Amino acid sequence: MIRVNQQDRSVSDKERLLNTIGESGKRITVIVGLSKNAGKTTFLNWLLEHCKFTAKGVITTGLDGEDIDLLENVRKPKVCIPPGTIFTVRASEMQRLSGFLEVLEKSAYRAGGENIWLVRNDTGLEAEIVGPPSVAEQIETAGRILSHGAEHIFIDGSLDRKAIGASPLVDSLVITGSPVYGPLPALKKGYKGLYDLAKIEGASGQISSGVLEVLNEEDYIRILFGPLKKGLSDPQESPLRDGRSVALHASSSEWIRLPFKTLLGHEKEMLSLLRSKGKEPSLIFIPGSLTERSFQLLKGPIQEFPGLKIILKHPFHVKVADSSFRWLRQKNILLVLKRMEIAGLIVNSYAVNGNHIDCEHFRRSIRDEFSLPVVDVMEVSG
Amino acid sequence: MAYIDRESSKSLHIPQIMEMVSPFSEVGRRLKSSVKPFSPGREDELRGEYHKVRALMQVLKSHREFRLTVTFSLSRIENIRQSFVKATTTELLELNELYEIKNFLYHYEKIRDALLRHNLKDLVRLIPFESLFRLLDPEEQRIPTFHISSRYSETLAALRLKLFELNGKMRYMEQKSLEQAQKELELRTAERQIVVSRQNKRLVQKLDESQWYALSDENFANLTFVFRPPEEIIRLEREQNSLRHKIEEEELKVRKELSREIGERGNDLITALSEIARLDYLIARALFGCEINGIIPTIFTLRSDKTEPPLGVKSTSPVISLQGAVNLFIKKELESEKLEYQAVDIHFNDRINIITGANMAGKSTLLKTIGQLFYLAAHAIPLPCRKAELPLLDFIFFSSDSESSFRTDLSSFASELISINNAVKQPGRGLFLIDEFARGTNPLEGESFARAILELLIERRGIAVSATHFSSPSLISRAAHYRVIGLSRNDYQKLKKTLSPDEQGGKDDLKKRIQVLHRYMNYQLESVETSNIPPRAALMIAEVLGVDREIIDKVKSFMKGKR
Repeated sequence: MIRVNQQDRSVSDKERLLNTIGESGKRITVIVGLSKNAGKTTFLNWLLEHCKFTAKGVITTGLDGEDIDLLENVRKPKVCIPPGTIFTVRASEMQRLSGFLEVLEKSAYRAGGENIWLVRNDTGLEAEIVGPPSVAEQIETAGRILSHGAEHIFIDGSLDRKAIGASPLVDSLVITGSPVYGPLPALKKGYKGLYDLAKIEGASGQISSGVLEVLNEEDYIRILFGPLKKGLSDPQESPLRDGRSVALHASSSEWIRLPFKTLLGHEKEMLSLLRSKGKEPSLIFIPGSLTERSFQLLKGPIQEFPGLKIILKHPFHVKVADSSFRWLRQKNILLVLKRMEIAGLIVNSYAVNGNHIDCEHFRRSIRDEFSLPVVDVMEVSG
Repeated sequence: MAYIDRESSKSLHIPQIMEMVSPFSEVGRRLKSSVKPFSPGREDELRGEYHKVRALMQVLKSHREFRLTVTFSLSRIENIRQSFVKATTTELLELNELYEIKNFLYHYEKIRDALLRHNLKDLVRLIPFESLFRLLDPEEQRIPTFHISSRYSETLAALRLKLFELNGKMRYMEQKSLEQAQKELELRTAERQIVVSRQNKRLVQKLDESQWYALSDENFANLTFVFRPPEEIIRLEREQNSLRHKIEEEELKVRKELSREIGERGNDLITALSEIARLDYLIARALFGCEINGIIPTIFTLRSDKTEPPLGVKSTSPVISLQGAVNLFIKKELESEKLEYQAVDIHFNDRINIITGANMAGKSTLLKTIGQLFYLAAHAIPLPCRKAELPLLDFIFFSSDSESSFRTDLSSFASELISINNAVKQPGRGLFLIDEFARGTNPLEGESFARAILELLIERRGIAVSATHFSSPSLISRAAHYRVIGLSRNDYQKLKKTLSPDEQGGKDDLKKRIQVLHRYMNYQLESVETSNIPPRAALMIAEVLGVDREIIDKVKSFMKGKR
């Protein structure tokens, strides 16, 4: 457990968080909540005010603009948008703010039955932002916003829509939590689950960029037989796309593309294949999620072939039980194509359901547990 | 009556071919789906339309930048007819509608400019809207984005400037106040909202006693304080709200004025949108022409009954002349199998034409090719062939029992019979493509039906092309007779050697045999004399396809017996 000077961290964590998000080359940050009413919008407002980008972009995942939280009957904060921000609204909202907006384009997508529009404001205002429902559409919309000159885009997401966080184009995640999620131990566990996922090693240190690129677009399971070597300049990498078995890294290694996308229902074929080649398998690439059942299936081969690693596309694709995840981590078996970077953990002691937590105890507990920036936007010390 | 019925269209693969003619805008796509074919009497109009398509094809082939500019701008044109209609009725246009109009004009002017630069201004009537675009682009940025610019109104400009200055002042004052609060309260940072634990009595007391913060919420664990801005900031906030309200009022005035000015050109804009749809459809057809290396046909008027030579007397001028005609659907299929397509020449000088030929010699494909080319020509679409001369007709009818399915309660022969019965009753001149009529019933009656239908069509004014294996229709003296050349005896011997009859096995073997057969088959037509009985090549084809030796031998022995 890390013991830290709380006074120091109240200031430095905010700066560290802003610095991490603002690192050069980063274009998209997604804010996800451990639960509803975790304080995402409050944090987004703080972030929009304090981050140093001159041209920001904001979208949300889906239609997230209800004034009132219907479950808890509390008024939700609106997004306070600084001047010069590019964001997404519905036509009805655009009409309300028509004196203060520049219409940049009509997006190809819809939310709540209305077209989504890309606009830029010339003065600070409060608005109801919207976004397209699917990840591909959100990423496409983010791309359009960048093309209109935004330096960095903040996506107001939520954990149940965390697929957006799994997109390879997302640079950082910020996790917000409040006691709505549960008491402090549960909250710690919630943060830790994501924190541990972020620790899964990236595959880029083990396999070449060409293979990484191919696997990013791959929808079928692949197995690498033979030793794992990083052959960056190996000219035989590209034939991997056509699905045939080809030598990739060395004449002693070959990738096999399986004709199925999931292990479920193909247990026997998988096991007999792993044992049939006369070479030890060194990598199994799974394009979808690693579920508990898939893991139980792979546990035998993992023990049978020491050094066998499993590659997933993104840490969010790990969907095994806690004990299994611990086992996999202890054995250092998991790799991901795209590492997940958590820029910071946001704590919000207020709970709409009344289960508030002492804010200072909350902040301290989380800081003691995690070395990441831990930010309460309503924290001051003195 | 429809130009082509659903079943005929499906059999001729018209939907798949028309899919290749793809306009870029919604208005273009709508026009394509609603457009009517050119009918007899409108030959000059069709020639005019083809002339435009040809002109566009030439420019599209040689000027890549024209193609990119125009197709991109067309793809950005939306169907905003409703906004134009709204403007004509002097209704207030919303911000999004003003954007859409500006976006339309931006791309419209790009297209218009490209047409002018390439001497294509006569293709469609694109009236200039430069002044209207300038109205919506007062800052002369030449981009399609839109906002209510301060240049529209001095009052608006002044109000916005005031709001800008006020916002700056408020931010500065708030920042200074927060810094002062931070200093006085000895805080490491200052926020507008602060949450403090009840246990932190020292900080709670400090905030409670401070003039800078006020308690806004409390619960059993924490207290929430909000920053209490100085009176001056509160006063400025009121001023800010008032300014916002005034800006909204002024913006409304500007929008009213813009709506009025746009409304004055509303009808022109509606016309412009229709012209863009026409242009888009023209470009889609021209691009299709470029893609298939298509040609513009010669359209002639079919002789009237009076000037027509008597049936059976050889005419010197063609009724249909197609050189190197391609069935695009089949070509695509063959290419996916890496097989070469054999284009065919079709020259018919008579209205009634009977085609015979071996099985798999391409008779059905030939009929379908003719149907496809007539359909494309009636829509002023370039044709996939080297040269073409054909007339306009009132309808196309394709009869075949293999794909007809319009009545599930009828047998294939009954369906075929009812379809053709309806088609011959259709008024006007039609193209009758009859593929092995009556093959689904007993041969004796079928043969009579096939002949009767053809005799009947001789009395009609259209063009008929019939493929048959029956001997009786081939005896009709008042029709022209053709044969698909097919497989020569020499080629058959070569094929027999290439494909060993014992080499049998599964799909791959059959695929290989069909591919080899395709290579040896001559799909061209040759004129034959009346009473030349249809070739009997079924046995030959069966052998090439690797049909079981036992069956072949039995067939041979039956045939020997018959002889």
